Order: sequence, then C-alpha cells, then structure tokens
Amino acid sequence: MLSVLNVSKIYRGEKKAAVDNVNFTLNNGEFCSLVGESGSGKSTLAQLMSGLIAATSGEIMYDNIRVSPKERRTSKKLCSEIQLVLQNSKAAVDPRFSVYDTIAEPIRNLRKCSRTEESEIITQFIRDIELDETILRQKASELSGGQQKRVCIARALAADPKIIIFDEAVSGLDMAVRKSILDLLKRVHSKTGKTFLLITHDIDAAIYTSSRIAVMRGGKILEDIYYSGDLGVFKKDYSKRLISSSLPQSVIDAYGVYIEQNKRRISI
Amino acid sequence: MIVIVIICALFAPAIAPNDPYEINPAMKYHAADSEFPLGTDQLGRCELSRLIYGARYSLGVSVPMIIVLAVLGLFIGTLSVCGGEKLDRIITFICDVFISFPSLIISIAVISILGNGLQNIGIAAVVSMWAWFARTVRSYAVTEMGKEYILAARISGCGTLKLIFKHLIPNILPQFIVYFSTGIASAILMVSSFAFLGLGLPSGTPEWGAMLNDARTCLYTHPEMLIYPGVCILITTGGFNLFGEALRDILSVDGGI
Repeated sequence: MLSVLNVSKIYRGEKKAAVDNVNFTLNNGEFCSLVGESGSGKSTLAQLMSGLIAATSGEIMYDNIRVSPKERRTSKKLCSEIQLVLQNSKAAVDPRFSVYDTIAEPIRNLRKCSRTEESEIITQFIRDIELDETILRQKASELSGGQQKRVCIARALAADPKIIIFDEAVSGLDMAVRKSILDLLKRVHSKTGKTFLLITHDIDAAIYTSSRIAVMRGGKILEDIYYSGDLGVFKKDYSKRLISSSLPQSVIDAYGVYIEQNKRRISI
Repeated sequence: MIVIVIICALFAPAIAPNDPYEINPAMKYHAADSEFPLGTDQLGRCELSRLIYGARYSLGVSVPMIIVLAVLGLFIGTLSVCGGEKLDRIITFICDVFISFPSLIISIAVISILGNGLQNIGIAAVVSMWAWFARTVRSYAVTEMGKEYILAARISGCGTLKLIFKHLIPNILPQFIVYFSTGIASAILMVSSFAFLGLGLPSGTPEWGAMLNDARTCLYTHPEMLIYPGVCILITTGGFNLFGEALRDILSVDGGI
C-alpha cells in the first residue's frame, strides 16, 4: 500500500503549489487512474510517489519506508518495488542501447539473475508485450512510438515491482496503438496482479482500464471514485466536463450525466 | 593525411634519408637533389629529415598531452555535474578563473617556473587547457543529464557511477571526440608556438615551430624553409580537424549531432 499523506509540492521559484495538500492511498492490486488536465499536478504527484522528487511538506509511505529521493538512493527495495513508466518513450530509452539491454538494465541492477535467467525473462517479457523476438537486437531508439512504449512497459515489469505508475502511457499515440497499449495494460494487470496507477488526461482511457478513478485539478484531488461501468458515480462538474469532452454524447445521455446550474439540471 | 603523419612519427629513423641533426656548413641552403630531396637549411641539415622527425616531436608531445587533458576533462566535467550543486559551483568558478587568462600566458608562466623540456611543455599545456576541457565536458553532461533516458536509468536502479560510465560518457563521447580531435590540432599549434617563441625545446630540435623560427632569417632568400614546416602544421592540424568531423558522423546515433 502506498499512502500519500498531506503532501504538497511547490517548485523552486514558484508561488503556487503543483500538488496541494493531497491525501491518497493506492491499495494493493488495484488498477487506479489519476485523471486531470495538463498542469493539474498529476505528473508531479507521480514523481513524488515514485520518490524521484521530494515533497515540500507531508509524507509518502510505502511499507513503513518513507518515499523520497534520498531513500530511493539507498533503498533497493524502493527502487525495485515502485517503477515509473515515463511519458515520452522515445526520450526515455538510451539511444545507444538495444531493446535487450534496455529491458535487461533493471534486471541487472535490481534482481539477482544469471545471464541465462535474464535472457529467459526478457524473451518472456517480449512475448508478453506482443513484440517479435527479432527486435531484441535492434536499437530501442529506432522503434516506432508504440513499440517504444511497449519496451518501456517491459522495462518497468522487468524490475518485478509491486507498483507501476504509467505517466501518460497513451498520449501521442494513434487510436489503434492507444487501444492496444491499454488492452496490454489490462491484460498484464489481470495476469500479474500488480498495482497499476495510470496517469492520464483522457478520462476515457481511465474508464476503459480502471476500477478506481481519481480526478485532479489545480494540484488537488477533486474526487476519488470506484468505477464499475456507471458514469453516474462522477459527482463533480469538472469530472463531468472531462467526460463530455472525451465520450460520445449518446453514451453520456444514456447514463444521464448532467451538471446542476441554478438548481436546474443541464445536460452536458 | 594524418596516417602519413603518424607513420612518419613512428618510423622517422627508418624513413628519414639523413640525420636531421648533422650540421654541414658546406652544404648550407643546398638545392633539392637525390641526397637531400627538399634541400638543406641554413646549417646544412637535411630539410626533409627534419620535417619527418618534426612529426615525432609534434605528435609525441601533443597526443599524450591531449589524452591526459581528455581524461582530466571527463573526470572533472562529470564530477562537476554529478557531484552536487556545491561542488559544481566550486569547479565552475575555478574553471572560469583559468579560462579568464589566455592559455599561452599561463603556459609561459608554467614553463618559466619549471624550465625548458618536452615534459614541461606537456605540463604547461595541461595546466593551461584543462579548464576548457572540463567546462566543455560539463556543458555536454548538463545537456545529457536533463534527458529522460537518464531519469529512466535512475528508475531502473542505476547508481551514479553506472549512470556515468554506461549512459553519460558513451552519449557525450561523439561530441567529445570532435572536441578531442580539434584539441590535438590546438595542441600541435601550441607546441609549435612554444618552439617558435624559443620556449621548451632545446636549440636545434627538429620541431616544425622551431624550424619556422630558424627560417625567419631567410624569409626573402629561401621562403621554402618557412613554407615546408608551415605546410606540415597546416596538413596535420587540418587532418585532425577533418578526422574529428568524420568520427562524429560515424559515432553519433543519428548520423549527426
């Protein structure tokens, strides 16, 4: 369980908090999504939860370990159990590394495996992420956007973490690739039972994949709901507007999603 | 071009037709013939032999010097970026102090303290040029450290040393090799400048800069005595610059930086 307790983050030189007094708990085994517009503080919260940046106030706890950059440098457990898949997959792979070496890096750093075991694990992951084994010797930087995204997902899985945070896992991909990546995440989640946190600005991606959706705006979590197919569970107007901006009107109407203005119900 | 210069430097005793140090006043300014293919200088020494031996002096001082500078630059530059903000400020400040003085002034000061000698030329050049190398490496490293693959490597459990040796240095190497190659050219020019100014090398040493200095007296009567070593310096420095450019194209990931 990863707990975010009264966490705020104000970047140096900024007056406004990127993350403002957030309380949030990521339960074991769940597929949760953190949704919000650009600049709402999602990526900052993701980096805080991964221990890559330090909180200005508050604390983040994982299995009685305080999650912070300092702890991350010294604790292998934190490194191996919380993985973050970065937004820009093309920039997140070393241009000199092959696909094999890219996926092997966390295995070599965080797991004790022989070279044979390492090779077997990587081959299995390549199959799991539905890529051909022949690309293992190719440079990761030469692959397509969708393939690079899959390689980054495989790299995160290779560390055998308990929690994986996907920062904008499907942004910048075409619709077909986007759906295939989301399907892959769903499949891997149900197969491995790991805790997934999907950071996205597309609420439809969250609705498609997650059982829990938290909506962020202005550095705060506006609402945190368990979703089981009923769009009516979203109570905040901002969440409803996010839905209206990404789902077809017929779907919204079917669920009777509306906002209240001057005590009148207005369809969105 | 640089292959020819390197072969000349390595096999000078085998290639040179005559002894470059042998003075023969009777053969002073002897015209080119089969015995002296490029003629002789003002002391009757074989010009071609001296040019061939000159490659040995130029490369023999410049290459080890530039290797020391490269290692020092890589070490200090990456230490500056990866060693924390305070250390970075201190290193940057020291580099700025060294860079604020012209290299030649620092070198002359160091040679004045240490005295003449090939080894002292090398030390003087390292003292005067290390800050340029360190700062260049630092600027390359700062750019690379801001890239997401470095963050991804940290997430994958890379410690600072692994990050430096597996990600940072291999990725700054293509740019650094270009700087390294042009550095060899600068070092050759620097050694020649010292020799031209009469610093560092004993009198009569067959070094291109020293040969230029010796030939100043016969600028109008025998201009070829200046042209030969000048062309050697031009070809060698130009060759290393072109070599650096070619290496960059080969080593860089996308064929260009």
